[in-house]
Parts: sequence; C-alpha cells; structure tokens
Amino acid sequence: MRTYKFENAYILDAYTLVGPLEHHGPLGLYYDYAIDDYYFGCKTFEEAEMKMMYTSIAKILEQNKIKKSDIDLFFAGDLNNQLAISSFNAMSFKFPYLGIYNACSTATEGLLLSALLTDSNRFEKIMVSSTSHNKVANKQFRYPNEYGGQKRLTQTTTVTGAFSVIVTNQETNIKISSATVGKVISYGIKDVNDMGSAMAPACKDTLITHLKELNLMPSHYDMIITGDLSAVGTQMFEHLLYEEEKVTLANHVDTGLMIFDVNKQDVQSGGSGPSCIGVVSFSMILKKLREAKLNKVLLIATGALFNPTSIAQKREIPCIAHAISLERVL
Amino acid sequence: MIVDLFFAFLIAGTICVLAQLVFEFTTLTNGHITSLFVVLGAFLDTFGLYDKLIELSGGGAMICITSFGHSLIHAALEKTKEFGALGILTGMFDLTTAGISSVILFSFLAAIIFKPSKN
Repeated sequence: MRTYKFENAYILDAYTLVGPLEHHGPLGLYYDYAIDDYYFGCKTFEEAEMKMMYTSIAKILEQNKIKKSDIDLFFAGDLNNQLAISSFNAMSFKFPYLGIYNACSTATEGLLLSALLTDSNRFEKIMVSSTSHNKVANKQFRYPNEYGGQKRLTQTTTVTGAFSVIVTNQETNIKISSATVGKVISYGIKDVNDMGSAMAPACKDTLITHLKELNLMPSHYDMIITGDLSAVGTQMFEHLLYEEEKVTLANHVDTGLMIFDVNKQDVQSGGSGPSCIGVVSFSMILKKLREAKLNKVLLIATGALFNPTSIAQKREIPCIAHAISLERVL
Repeated sequence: MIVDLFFAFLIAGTICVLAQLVFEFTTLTNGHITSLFVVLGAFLDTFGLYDKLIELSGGGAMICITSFGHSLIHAALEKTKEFGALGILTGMFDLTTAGISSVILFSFLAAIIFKPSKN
C-alpha cells in the first residue's frame, strides 16, 4: 500500500503569486498577487524568485494573523541548484525547515508529507511553499534566454509563480483526505524537450494505484487535476490509460493547459514547474471548493527527475507523480 | 550585384534550411546542431569545397557558423605548408582570432551596459 487516508489534515489557507504571462492567462483574476516585472524590483532573477516565495509566506502569515513561531515545520522546494531559493527563505523566516525536491511534483510531495505529519497530531501548523521562475529555470535546465535558441513545440514553458499553503490538524472546510506516494518510472524516453510524454507513465501509475487502493472509480472525483503534462503529455497520458488500463477520464484537466492559453500565448506545449499545479489548485480550484462548486478533487503533480548532467550523459528521464485528494467538508 | 545577392541568399538560405531540417527531424539540441555545422564547414574545407562556396556567394557562405569550421581548417592547412605538422597546432586559430577576441570584447561591453532580457 502506498495510499494513505487522513483524519487530521486540513488546508488552513493558501496564497498564490504569479508572473506577467500567467497574470494575462485565462486564470489571471484568481491569483492573490501578480508581478508585472520578472525582476520584481531586484537585481537578479534569482533574487526575484526568493522575493516571490518570501512574499507568499509573509502574506499568508499576515492574512491569517499567524506568528512565525507558530509554524512547526516548513517544507519547501524549487528548481534552483541545491534548493537555494527555499533555503534562503527558511533562513529569513527562521522556520524549522526540511527542503524537498521532486521537480514539478514538489508541490504535492510537500502537501502529502505535511498531511502525514499533522495526521499524527504531533504537528499543528506546517507551511508548504514552492516556487519557480521562468528565467531562472531556463538557465538551470534549458538555455539562458539571451542565447536565443529556437524552442520546440513539445517543450513546456516554466511557470513564474510561488505559492504557500498552511496545513493544519485543526478542522477547516477543506480536508486533505488521502494521498498516494509515487514510484519512479521511466519508459526510456530521453528527449528532454518532451517531458510531458516522459512523465505520462508515472502519472498513469499513480492514478491507477490511487483508485485501486481506495477502491474508487474515477468519477468519485469532480475533477482529476494533473500538473504539468501539458498538451503533448496529456495526449500520451490519456492514450496510456486507455491502452493499458481501459480507462477513459471524463473529468481530467491539466494545469499546464489551464494556466496559459496555448493557442494565443507563446508557450509552446503549455506550462510546467512546481508552481504550475500549485498556483492553479490553490487559487481557482480552492476557491471553487470553498464555494461548493467542487466537492472532491484529486491533484496529481508529476516531476521529471533528471539533471542536466544525466541528460548530457544520455541517460533516460526518471519520472514520478504524487497524488493528494482535497475534499470539501462541513 | 543582383546576381551576387541572389547567390548569397541561396547558399546561406540552404545552410539554414538544412539546419532547420536537422532541428525538426531529430532530437539534437541547439548546441549539438551548432557544433555539427562547424564540423561540416571544416569537413568541406578539408577538400577545398568551402572556398568554392565563398567564391560563388561571398558573404552568404561567410556569415554562417560553417564558416568558423572553414576558417579553423584553412588556417591550420596554411601553416602546415610552412611548418609541417606543427602548423596544425600553431595555425589553427590564426584566422579566427579576430572573431573570438571580438566576441569576448563585445560580450564584456554588453554585460556592462545591459541586464538579461525580461522576455
């Protein structure tokens, strides 16, 4: 079994912040804050990304009148070498800190770890944050923008955004009801410009495991939200589900396709990055859960766990997907 | 002059089309393709073919990255006539020095004046 049910894991609140391209996307009005400048008033993109995460944490503490010292644990991850962004913020806020990295699935990894810990009632408030910045991630994983390299249509565009969520053992109206820990899976895909297809098998595996272990039909959920398979990966995911499991999903959406208008914005195959599923889920989806327009959703965040060296050495791309389900209670 | 322009456009265009086709039909990265075309230029020059392209199209063949490979081999061969095998080592960068030095200089100047683009 790698699916866990929780009794004492609730979402206290969330705060989302996005960059200009996301702000002008279809969900622009749902975010708590948008920056119109990739530098966010800082000298470098990295500093800007740090400030993005800082802002999301500071705002969520302020909104909920929570003191820094009330946070029992801080899970955070980003796409920088050695999690620099998260660690600098942990230093600023002086939280007890555990840095986590599962590429784009860092978002749900943090939430499922928090749920496991609050469920035991040994932790009261756990902060989960993650961030990604398009210009920083391009430098890390692709080419710096100044290089001016042509992009491929299968490639995704890293979302500029940050989100913070407080998970608590005290009852609120949004519950983290269950979670499934992913396994690292690869079908041998090596093309780093098509991470959607590489991640699809891991996504399928986690979804099927989740449904089997809890004995559920896909229709149990109002929405099955994957993040960030994007256009190419979504096709592959639905194809694999049908070919290997004979399952078709009527309620599947992908945050990589929701955050941008793929036809109008210059984003190739769609959005990606740990903040992609985070800012969509904790803005629009959370709002709809609170307004009772949705009752149960499953979030599956997928991550491509390569590094630039493993790609240069022609290794395949190991992929993972972690799922958590959010449920409206009360 | 119209004829010169036509051939310049034709040859440079053909090289770019070839590179674009490699980009579209393989999973090679931009870095791979740039290196590939440097090697291609060097290969053509080894057999004296690249000079013919330059004769025909002037700047057309000179501005593409293939011309960098051509310059490397050209200079190495030139020095070999004078110094034998040692010329390969001493001559390789003779013709490209101006190119490489100006890249360093102008990159430095650009880095002082500008910040990385927001777009």
